[in-house]
Amino acid sequence: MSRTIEDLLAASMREEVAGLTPAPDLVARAARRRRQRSRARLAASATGTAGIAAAVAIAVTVPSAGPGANRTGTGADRTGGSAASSPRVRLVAAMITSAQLSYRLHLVNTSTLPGHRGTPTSPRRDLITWYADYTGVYNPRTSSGAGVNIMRLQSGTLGNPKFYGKVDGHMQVRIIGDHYYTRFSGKDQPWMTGRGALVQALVLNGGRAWSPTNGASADPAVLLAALRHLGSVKLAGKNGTGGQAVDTYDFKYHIDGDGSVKPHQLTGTIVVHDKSNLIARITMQTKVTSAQPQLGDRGWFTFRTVMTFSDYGLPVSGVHAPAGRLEQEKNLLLGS
Amino acid sequence: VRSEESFEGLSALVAHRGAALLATATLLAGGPAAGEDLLQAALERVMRQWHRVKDEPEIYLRRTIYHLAVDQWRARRRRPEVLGKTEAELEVAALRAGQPDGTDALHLRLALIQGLAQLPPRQRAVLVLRYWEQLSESEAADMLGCSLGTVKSSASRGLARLREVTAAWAVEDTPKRKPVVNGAWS
Repeated sequence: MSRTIEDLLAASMREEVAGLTPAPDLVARAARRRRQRSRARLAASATGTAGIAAAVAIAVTVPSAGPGANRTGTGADRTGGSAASSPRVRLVAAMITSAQLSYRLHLVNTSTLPGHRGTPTSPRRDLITWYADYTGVYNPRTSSGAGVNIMRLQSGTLGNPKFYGKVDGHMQVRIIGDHYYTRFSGKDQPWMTGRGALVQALVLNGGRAWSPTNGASADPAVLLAALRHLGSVKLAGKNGTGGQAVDTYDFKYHIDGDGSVKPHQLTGTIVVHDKSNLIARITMQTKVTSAQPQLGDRGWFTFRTVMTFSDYGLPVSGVHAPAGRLEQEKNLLLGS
Repeated sequence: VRSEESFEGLSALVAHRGAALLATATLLAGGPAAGEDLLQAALERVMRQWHRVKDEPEIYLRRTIYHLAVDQWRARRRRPEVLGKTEAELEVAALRAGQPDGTDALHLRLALIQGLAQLPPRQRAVLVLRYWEQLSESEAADMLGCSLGTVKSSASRGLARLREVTAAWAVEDTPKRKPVVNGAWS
């Protein structure tokens, strides 16, 4: 036999794969599989971004429950003389006070997969898996608000790292009652709508349900309840003087695992204006591991959310549902 | 969140180039079923990056297939499916070869394919790039994101292993032609 090994190998390869055709539904199958993976990943994201729920908590808890929420809070606060002055009680009171006013919110949320390697030999680097940079206004009395989420390119194993973080368009967001409306920048992009609040619009972008994990529910009251009853709250310090004086509180609480994520702990810091008792900033972070690594991403994620509140009492009006064609956002978590 | 309809360009790509992509994935993964799994996994990856890659999806899809084959597929340690071929299948294939010594040629081909499937993932990927895709060494290095030296050494070791596997067929050792880009032979 006189043919070279290279010749024979090339010929063998051609013969081995001759006539192969992919299944006709291969793309559809890949899309379904991708959604399955997204469920686990976004469930983890939902848990990690409970901080966004905190923002919504401020917006919704009091208006949704009316003065009753305040009574409930203060009623709990009156359980004892020492409790009435505890850091937890003061913090909850600040959240309730803040929730009664309109405000401007700047929210930055980052989800990171640390030490990711694109290939076994490539250097480790942090892979940003989710990023939100939202600025908007909200009026809790009318349950309406509007804002813009800046879209940035995420890093990826295939992407050129130098493009990481570059602005890649934006997403308009409107919140009206218990519905949100979103539209991506770009020609002929439709408005999408779904049932939910800012947190659904930004994080799940259409997922109606969160992970059932306690403490990560889309219901913002859950986070407030967590701060009231679940974890620990302590006064970390006071800074500034006069009108610039702020109190800083540290908090943490445990979040039970479920079918999507393993149990984990959420920690955070809340800065409150001392004079007005209004919240200035909430910072939250957690580390989440998927309970189903075979479906979701392996390893663990870190989540960090920073919300800055300002311009309390600013006028917010004229927020209307978009006119024209609306597309119903699909429920990602249910795979429909 | 993108609906399935948003990947229309991807569906068209798979419709037109699916056979070639599946062939590459099959050679990398060690069999048609594993190859389809690999191709599907690569499609999922590309969907995630769709807003960035939709202008040149085939390039990204091919690159993803190779990266997955070298990276994640190694961890799965799939048993190559070609090892499972039955004697009956061999006989049918030999008859299709239409020559008296077809069985011998078929066994040589199967030995090569089996040997290829048993190589370490990077060596396998390099050989597929060089002798199936017929890329140059530098193009193969670019596709895999590794150095030219790594491609040279991987190809050398891979071919050496295949020579051992096929020693019984007395394949000539010294290459007399080298593949070049565009599929021509020098």
